[in-house]
Amino acid sequence: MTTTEEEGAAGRVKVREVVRDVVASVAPEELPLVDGLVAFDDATVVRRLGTRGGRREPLGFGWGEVVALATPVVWLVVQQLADRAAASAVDGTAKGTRAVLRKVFRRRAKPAEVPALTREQLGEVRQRVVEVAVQRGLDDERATAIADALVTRLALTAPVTPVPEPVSPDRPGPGDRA
Amino acid sequence: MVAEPARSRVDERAMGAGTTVRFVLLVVLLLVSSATMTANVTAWLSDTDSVEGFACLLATGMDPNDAYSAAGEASFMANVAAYEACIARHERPLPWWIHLAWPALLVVLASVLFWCLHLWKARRGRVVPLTAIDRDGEILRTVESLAASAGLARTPNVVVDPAAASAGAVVFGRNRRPTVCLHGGLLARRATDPEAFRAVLLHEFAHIRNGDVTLAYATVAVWRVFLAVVLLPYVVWWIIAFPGGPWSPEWSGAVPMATRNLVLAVFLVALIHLARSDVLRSREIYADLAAARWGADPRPWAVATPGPPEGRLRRLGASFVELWRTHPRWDLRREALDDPAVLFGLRSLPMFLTGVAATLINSQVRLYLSMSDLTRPWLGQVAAVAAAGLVTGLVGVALWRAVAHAVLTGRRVPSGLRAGLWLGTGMMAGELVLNDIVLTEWLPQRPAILVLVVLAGAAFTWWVAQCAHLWLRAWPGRTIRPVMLAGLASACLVLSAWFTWWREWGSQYLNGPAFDTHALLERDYPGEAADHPAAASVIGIVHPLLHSLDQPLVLPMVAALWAVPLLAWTSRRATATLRWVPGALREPAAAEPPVELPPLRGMLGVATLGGVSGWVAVAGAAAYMHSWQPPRGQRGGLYLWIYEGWVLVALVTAATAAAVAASAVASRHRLLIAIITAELAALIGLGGWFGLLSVDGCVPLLNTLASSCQWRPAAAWPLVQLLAGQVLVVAAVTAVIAAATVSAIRQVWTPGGHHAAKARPAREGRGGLVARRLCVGVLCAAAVGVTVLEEASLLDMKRSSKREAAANVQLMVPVGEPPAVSAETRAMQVLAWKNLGAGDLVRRYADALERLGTAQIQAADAADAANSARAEIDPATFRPICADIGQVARDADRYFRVPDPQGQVLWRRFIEQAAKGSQECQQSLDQGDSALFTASNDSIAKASDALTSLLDRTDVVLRDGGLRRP
Repeated sequence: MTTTEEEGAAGRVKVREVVRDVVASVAPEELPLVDGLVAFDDATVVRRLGTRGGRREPLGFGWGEVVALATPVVWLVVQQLADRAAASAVDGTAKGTRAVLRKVFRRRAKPAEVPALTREQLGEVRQRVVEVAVQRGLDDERATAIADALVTRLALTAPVTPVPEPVSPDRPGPGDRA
Repeated sequence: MVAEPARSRVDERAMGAGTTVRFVLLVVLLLVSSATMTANVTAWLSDTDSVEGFACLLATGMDPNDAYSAAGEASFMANVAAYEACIARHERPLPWWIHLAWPALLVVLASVLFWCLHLWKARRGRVVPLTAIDRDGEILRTVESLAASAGLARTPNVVVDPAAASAGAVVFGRNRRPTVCLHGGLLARRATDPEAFRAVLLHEFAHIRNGDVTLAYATVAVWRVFLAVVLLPYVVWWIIAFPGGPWSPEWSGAVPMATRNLVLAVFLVALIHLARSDVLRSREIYADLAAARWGADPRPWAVATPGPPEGRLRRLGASFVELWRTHPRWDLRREALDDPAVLFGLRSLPMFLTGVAATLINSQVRLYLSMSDLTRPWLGQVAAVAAAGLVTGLVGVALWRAVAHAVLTGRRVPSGLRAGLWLGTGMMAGELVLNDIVLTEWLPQRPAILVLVVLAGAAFTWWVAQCAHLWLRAWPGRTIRPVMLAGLASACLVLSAWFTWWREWGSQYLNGPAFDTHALLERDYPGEAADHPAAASVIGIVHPLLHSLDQPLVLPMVAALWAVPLLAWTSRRATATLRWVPGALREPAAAEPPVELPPLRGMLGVATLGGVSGWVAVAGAAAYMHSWQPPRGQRGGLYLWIYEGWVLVALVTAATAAAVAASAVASRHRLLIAIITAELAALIGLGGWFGLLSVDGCVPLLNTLASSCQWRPAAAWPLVQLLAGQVLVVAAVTAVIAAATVSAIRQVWTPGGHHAAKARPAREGRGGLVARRLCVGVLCAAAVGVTVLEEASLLDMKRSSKREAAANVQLMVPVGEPPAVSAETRAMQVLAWKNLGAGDLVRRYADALERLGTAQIQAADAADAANSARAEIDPATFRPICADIGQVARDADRYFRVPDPQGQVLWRRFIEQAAKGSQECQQSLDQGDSALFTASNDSIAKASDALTSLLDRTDVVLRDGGLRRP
């Protein structure tokens, strides 16, 4: 992770980069998936990963079973973090308008970035990852391993001093106008 | 045979799977249904919803709540010419291309959707190209190597759906340009379980190799467009056009009709879904087998499945849910990898669905043709052949495969009866959801006749299965495809004949005896019919039924029924394994010794015996006829009818006895042996009768028609030709019944004895083979020759008797009074009668009458002016008026009878008096006969009185029915 130093210095890192790093460490076999998902914008990724369950399509192999993957867990949680941070930064109406315009002109949104998190926040993220991972069929051990890897990766971008207004991964925090 | 031999594994590719036909059947069903369903909608939209057509029907005296009653039918037949004229005058049929437009639109939209489906599935934002994730090209190399193992000419386009968490893949596009989409879950699993990755890819490549892609997505496209463009408008039409409420007079008749219309839509949805899922399930197994053949590891198929649910109801529920799935259960798929027997089994559901589809297609094509004004007799045959072709493509192929599999693996050869009962039940169910056999009632008057449809299905599959078994035991070729195709072609002919007969004649018996020629016999032979009332009644009922067998396809069907299996005896007796067997097996087990066909000589012996007894019986019939031989010159008519009747009974009885004897002796192929024996016996008997007739007059005790002894083959031939076809057809039917009865009895007495056929050592010299071939050749030539001669005479007869038949049809149907109906309905009928043309006729008559009055006044005035005592009648003035009155009378005679018995009496009187008056008037003018002219005026006055009374009467009827204020 040679780029981490620079990122840490900048304070912000893209969601997809965090996901890639975490997947590379805990589930390297899923890297092709991340590579594929990177081709989509964030909204598409969240929408597509959010829908669960396998479809039995005609002429498919017919395996209805869903493989328990680390990638969706990591991506969804990190994206949620980034979205909360962005939501607190930008006025909702302006964001909505921008999203619509972007759709009209088929322009991709800028990839979301992960905010710097405090130690408490990192703890909450860890908790959240375990929850989501278990929900999506991963066992506890694997869920913990993924959560630890993500927290470790996020810690590398964490600020030295706590930010005054914390951002929780599942509750939008008060407006951060920075 | 070894008690439990090591089961050979059959190569599933050795025989066609019939998949294409199954998809084609679905698409044809959708197209045909779209044509008829949208025809309703189009007619309604364009406001030509047959209001007048319905009124024309009402004017015939039809009861809208009981359209198919015997009285209604009789009343309709009495008015059939007037009805046709009414329709021609009032109905504005839509141009024929309008009805084609909707199916054409369906095809165009489905093609567009077919292309778009591919683009939609491969759109940006859903999938990414393989290159985007496969940086080192390793996945592509694996894909290429697997495509090569699968024998694909080029590697398909591969894309990735990284967000799909399932460990599968799917193929879409079309056969020539397929796209394989790998799911994210599969890519993730590749690292840990490369064998599963290979298996999934090989399975998808198998779908491509097996040509499933285009068919599957074309069906999807047609189905979706059908839902949007046909089914939705149809349901909307159904809701809006539903009859008002229980208070409307046609409510009770319209509800069954409307309900069936809706049930048809629901039925179609279920049918298409079930049939499509069923065929897709079998394609999955084919793909699994191909993947395994190309080296796929079987472990990925070892998916843990929950055991069958507890309780019968739950199990039933589970198997019902299973029917709608596109993939078979995992345990079935695993089993199929070891032994693909499941692909060769005869399952009930496809049989049932095919039966339903066959009826829907056959009936709806006819309905469509009639709506598009494209009614031609041969088009009906084409519809029947098309439906039969599709059914044979499905059911026939399934039967041949099942039999071949049983022969190859030493399993029990299926009789096909069970499959046929399901097929027949499906055909019957199809009849019940269509407004075809009944219209305004829930069930036909004799629903039991529908059992015939079920039995026909069973007889068909029984014959096909036995033919397949016989031929597979005898076929000397390396592959069974040619013989299977020939067998299926003859099966198609057999089924076409049934479809035509049932649609045109058989189904009419559902609502009572459609025709009775008793009245015809009484008209033509009054004295004789009175002397032989029993014979006249029997002939009156049986003759129309026998006559209905004179269909162009029926005799070729009978010829196929016995000649096709008979040809199997031309093959050399196999001494070792049949040549096609090794090619059809993947792991040949110990070759089963070939089983010999039953000896031809025995069969011929029984048939000859039957034929000779038939001949003797015919001689007996001749002796009986001789006992009451009428004097010379009176030996035609009913005497001849009765004679022919007895000959038919004699020949058919002998043939049936031969069939019973032959099938009782036979240990297998009982049905075929029964049919061959019966037909042969019937032919020999017919030959005997021909001989007897040719020397009629020479044997004193047997003289029937001729009075002097002479060799008269030319005179005898037309009589034999007249009866031959009917004897052969009836003998075939009784042979089937005989074989069924014998089989049932044998089943009860010697359960399992059926399989105890001994393999006899095959020993035959060259001379034996030549004799056998010669014999079969002669017999088949006889079958074909008789058929050709009979068909030629049928064509000839059709041409000459068409006019006569049209004149006789009214006599065959007893003309009665219109059926008793409520006052409201009667008023509606009378109103329709008035509005559709009676009013015009009355106006024309009144106009002529006025002109007549004026002319008479002018003539009287002229006489006064000339001081003449007698008025001068100017023929030039009066002739056209009288002619007009005559014309009105003739037109009125051609018009509907009044749908009110009292009114009809007055109407008849009006017509007779007006015709009489007109004739007398014109005659008096020609002859200058003033007395006759005065008489003509009297007749015209009587006609006018009758007409006035009739109009009063119609007013009463309308008032009673609430259509006119009191």
